[in-house]
Amino acid sequence: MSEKRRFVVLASVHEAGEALNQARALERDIKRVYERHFGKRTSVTCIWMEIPQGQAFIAGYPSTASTVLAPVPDDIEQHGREAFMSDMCDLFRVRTDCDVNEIIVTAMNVSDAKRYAKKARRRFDPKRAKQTMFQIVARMILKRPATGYLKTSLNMPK
Amino acid sequence: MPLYQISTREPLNPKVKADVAMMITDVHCKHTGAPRTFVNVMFVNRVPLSPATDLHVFGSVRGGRTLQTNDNVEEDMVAQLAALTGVDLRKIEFMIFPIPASHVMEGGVVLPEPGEEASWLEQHHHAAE
Repeated sequence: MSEKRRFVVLASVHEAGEALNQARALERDIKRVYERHFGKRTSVTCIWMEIPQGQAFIAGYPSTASTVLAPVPDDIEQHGREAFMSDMCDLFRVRTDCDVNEIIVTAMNVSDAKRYAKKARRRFDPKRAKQTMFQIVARMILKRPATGYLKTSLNMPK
Repeated sequence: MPLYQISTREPLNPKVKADVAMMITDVHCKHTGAPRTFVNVMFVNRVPLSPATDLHVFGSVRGGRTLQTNDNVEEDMVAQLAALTGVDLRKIEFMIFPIPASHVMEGGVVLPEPGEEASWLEQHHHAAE
């Protein structure tokens, strides 16, 4: 039997928006979309990154758009990637009643998503990088019993 | 897309953030020809930056542009960031991560390749609103 394919989805959503209120339902929908596109032996972990007010802009003005980084298998063909991204857009629009322009989906290959995360971590002081990552993960895990999902903030822990 | 993440140790004040977001939109569009509605900017606070850096820019941009275009964006943006934030030019780090346009959906449609924006916008007016 083949191993489960694992995906980590990072959804950046606004603190006052509807997405966080719907996070658990959205997670179920996201997992269903992954299973439909990539098979039942798929494991999806969703991380909800809260964007505090005044920290996101689009076209130079305050933004309410959600951005979802949803990796896909490296061997996917473009028509499959587009169908997957459409389904992801649709589920956010249905659950949160957002406008089509308020949802941005990036479906990078899994290997590219790993390179992206690695490069983003390079901004950290090497002496504090591990500690920072540990704090971020610990904060998510500790809050999970109260929220029912993995939530972090765009801002780093104090 | 692009998404520019501006990381600092301490939060920038709201007026500076607004000015920086507008400047980044202006600079990116001037050098690349991208529609303004594509440009996202986020500010990340309390980032334990490396000691040589006081402000870090991480830009996820559509791939396929020339090195010269990316260099022009970097040079212009870093100079204006220094002017707007007061951070020493040498303490601003700039990184770009190119992502294929075909991997991103905005406004319910896949983004155009660089240079194909005009015909894309004719077909998808709603994405420029």
